[in-house]
Amino acid sequence: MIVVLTTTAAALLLSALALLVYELRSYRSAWIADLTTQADLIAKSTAAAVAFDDVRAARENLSLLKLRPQITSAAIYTAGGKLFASYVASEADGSALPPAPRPDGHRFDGEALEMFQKIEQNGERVGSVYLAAHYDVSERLLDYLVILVAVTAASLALAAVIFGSLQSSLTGPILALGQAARDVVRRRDYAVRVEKITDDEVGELVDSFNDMVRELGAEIDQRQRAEGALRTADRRKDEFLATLAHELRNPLAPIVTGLEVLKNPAAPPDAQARARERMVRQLKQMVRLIDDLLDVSRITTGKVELRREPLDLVAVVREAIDAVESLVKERGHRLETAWPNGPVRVDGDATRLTQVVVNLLNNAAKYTERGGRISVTVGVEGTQAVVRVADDGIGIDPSMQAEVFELFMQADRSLERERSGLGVGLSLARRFVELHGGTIELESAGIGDGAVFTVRLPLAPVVVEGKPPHAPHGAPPRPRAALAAPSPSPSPSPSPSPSPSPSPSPSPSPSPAAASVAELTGASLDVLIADDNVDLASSIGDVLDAIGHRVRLAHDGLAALEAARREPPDVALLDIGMPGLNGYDLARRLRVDPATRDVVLVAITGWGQETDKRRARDAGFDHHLVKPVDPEALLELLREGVRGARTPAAGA
Amino acid sequence: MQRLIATLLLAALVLGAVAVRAQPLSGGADEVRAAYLYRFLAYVDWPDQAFATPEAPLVIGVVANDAVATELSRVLIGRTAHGRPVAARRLVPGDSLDGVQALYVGDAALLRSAWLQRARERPVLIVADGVASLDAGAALAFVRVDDRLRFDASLRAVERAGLRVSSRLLALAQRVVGAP
Repeated sequence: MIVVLTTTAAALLLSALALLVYELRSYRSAWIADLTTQADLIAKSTAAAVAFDDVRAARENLSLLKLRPQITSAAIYTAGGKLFASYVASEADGSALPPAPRPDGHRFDGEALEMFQKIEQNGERVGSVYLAAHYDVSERLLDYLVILVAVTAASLALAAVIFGSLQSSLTGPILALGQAARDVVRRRDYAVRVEKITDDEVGELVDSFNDMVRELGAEIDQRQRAEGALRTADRRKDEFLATLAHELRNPLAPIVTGLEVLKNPAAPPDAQARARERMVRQLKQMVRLIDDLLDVSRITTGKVELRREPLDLVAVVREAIDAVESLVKERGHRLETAWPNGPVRVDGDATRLTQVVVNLLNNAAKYTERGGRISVTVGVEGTQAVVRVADDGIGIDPSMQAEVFELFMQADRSLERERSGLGVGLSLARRFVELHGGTIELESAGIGDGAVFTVRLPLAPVVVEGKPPHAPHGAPPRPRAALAAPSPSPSPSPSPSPSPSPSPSPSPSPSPAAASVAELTGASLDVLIADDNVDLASSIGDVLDAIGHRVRLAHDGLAALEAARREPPDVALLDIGMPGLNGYDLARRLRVDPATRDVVLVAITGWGQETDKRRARDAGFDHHLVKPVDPEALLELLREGVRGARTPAAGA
Repeated sequence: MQRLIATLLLAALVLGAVAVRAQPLSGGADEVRAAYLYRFLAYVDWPDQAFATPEAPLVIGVVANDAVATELSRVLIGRTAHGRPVAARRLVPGDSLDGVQALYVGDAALLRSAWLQRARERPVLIVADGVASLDAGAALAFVRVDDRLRFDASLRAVERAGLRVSSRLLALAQRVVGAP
């Protein structure tokens, strides 16, 4: 502002000075011209008077000059230089008359302008006229200065106004931009916006700045949210680890006490049976936990593959109910079910869908006070198959409802809580349902009001050769069963109760151990077990030995190879990670050796992922079992293996 | 020789210029009369027929005053009026007035002579002495005022002669008679 005004003032001053000088010069020459004209007039009009020596007439002529107050004095001189006639405006100037004429021309004398001019008659000089005028340049100068000062001041004011308006449109937004940028840096406030006043380049600048800040704000917001999510996930993982340790530790105590009982030969048989049952139950609980964990890791790494097939959702729900029956009984709940008469066809993975319903039922049983009511309904709504699991349990606080499906989410985070859980069940359920293209919803009025979980799955297209699916809207669900569990007394039978495992065998199986023994009696197999974990190998060996198989043990790969070559077994159970020769290489060698080519090879690994299974298949294994080995599955497999091994042999 | 003539001419000019200077009448009334006679010419307009040719000189006749005639001859050397050379001519009563544009009559009595009565109808500026000469037909008459030589004017005479006299000259006249 100051710079601009100073520049303007300097320019104005310069032009004012130039104007002043020009004006003074033109004023001066105008004065000279004016006085010259006046002198000419006097000379002309007094020429006759001078010629005829008429002083009176000359005086009268001169006296006309009183009409020009600026002319202070005038005089006529004869050609001989004598004063002929004179005129003085005021008496005070009388003495100023020159005594004799000077050469023609003008002369400035202070504030006076003097002039001599010839008087001509008939082309010859008859005398001189003298004029003296008050050259009032100072007054003129003063007037002029006043005008210039006024004009300059007005111009400066105008310049200030113009610059002010320019500033508001040009520098104003730029200053605002600078301030906003400082605000952003200092306060980290990304909501700062600069108001756009004009549509010119400055306006564009403002727009760009605003866009930049918005972008920056969004990015930082996103980062903070991501960090927050990471922190939350981290915290949940910590909580999960604590819970996991707790959950894994819990079953160990009953197992240890059960072992104590079994070690004592004097223990009563029924106490031993109870101990075994307790140990089996606890072990299954642990296995289920670990299976869940494996599923979680598979889902989070995207390695889950659904084996979809047309299936009846009612059968799936029935399977699930079988799986949780013991828990429901134990807690004294009443289970109400309702589903249509016909099948509800969906296209899905029976194992996974069963797992979903089991998880929901487990939750319902766990989070409902003893003796509560749980209902399961299956129905069809539009093009969707619907499974509803409702309870009158503790319910879920509305603020938590959105989060219960999150991984590792626990409604009650305290370690002292009475209900245990890893916070993976609902998360798994949701993931599996979504993998099927369905949805899962939770409704709960709040704490103490129970909860309803609704799973919706797309109905399978009508199967041409199969029975048509039951009319979706026609028959209302009919209550079919009400399982009541008056007393949760454990069964005296050593056989496990219906399995709560997430991978229940889809075939209805009788008590596995009894069945295996029954089926395999008299069909003794030669089994080679190779595992560097001596305990594991011998424990499996004991089980197989007990039911009549011949068992050999090896504790490294080379020993196993030698044993197999020396006497080819019917079945070889091979650990993968072994010293000397690993399981894959061992399998390959056995496969290339004609003597051992037909041995049924079973891989026993700690890795249950699809890639592991494929690798095992590629190496030549017939089957793949994940540690800890489920004896039931192993026996089933041996049964199958024997069939598979013997069928080609029989055919050969 | 030419140089000598030029020097003489210059001297004559200077002397003439000195003589033209207005002076108190007491010093030499005839010199003043001669000077005034020449100066009147500038304020008087003659009709074209007053001159024989466009280049013809303007002639001032002098009758009955040799002193004036002599002085006038001196004054007129090298001078012009209305772009014409001017000359003085000594006349005696009865002389032809052809080619004469101004006439100074030294003896006012002559004005009433038949010779001059005839001249009244011609474009001749007649100048004489004394107030009464205006009545006798003079256009301008020298008068004595405060020991200075002044003049009166008769518009009637000017008109009759077919002349025109500048108002600037009339403004200096003591008296102007015959105003319309």
